[in-house]
Amino acid sequence: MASKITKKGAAVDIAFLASMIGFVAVMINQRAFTPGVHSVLLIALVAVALALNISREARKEKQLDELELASASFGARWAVTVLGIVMMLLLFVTPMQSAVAHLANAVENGSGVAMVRPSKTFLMGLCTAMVIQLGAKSALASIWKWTKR
Amino acid sequence: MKNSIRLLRAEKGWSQAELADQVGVSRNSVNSIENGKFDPSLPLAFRIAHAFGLTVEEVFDKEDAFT
Repeated sequence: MASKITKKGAAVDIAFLASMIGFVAVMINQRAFTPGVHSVLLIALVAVALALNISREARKEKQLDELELASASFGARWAVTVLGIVMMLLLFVTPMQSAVAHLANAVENGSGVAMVRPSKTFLMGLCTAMVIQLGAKSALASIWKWTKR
Repeated sequence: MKNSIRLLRAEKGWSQAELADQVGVSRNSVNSIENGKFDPSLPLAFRIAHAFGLTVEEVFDKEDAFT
């Protein structure tokens, strides 16, 4: 029974990863599809990824015991503070600003959609903030759990 | 919170994993509770005490809760 559940969980994880890779591949290779097909594929892949992610999170939630819930809660609570501090610091770190700008250019060139500078800056800023917050949440939860050993 | 889980476990000859299985948590949780680094919820404290056939007060040091 347990191994059946584990196998199902692994299959969902692999399917989620495949849908994310598929999304990036379709987004970059826009010229391989007609505009209509390209949009339908992107929307379908996002929908599949979201559905799979809901299933993954629900499964993980069921498996968490109270120590793990406490560590996740600690991580989520303090990640916002870490995000605020890091974003403030990034405003003064030029190499980091350049890295974000380069990433924005790479995405713009790959997608073939020309974006105006403010929307590009906003989108990349949003993506960077999300990555920092998720990373901080995960790291803080792990550190908290480690201190309770 | 101080407790006598390690002692009671040794008396029963149970590993942390075995106790964890019985009370439905991870081995890490049992380890943290045993070392007094993490206070369990009331339901979990009852489950742990029940696993040893004791009351909560016999497993956990109630004096520690007031300090």
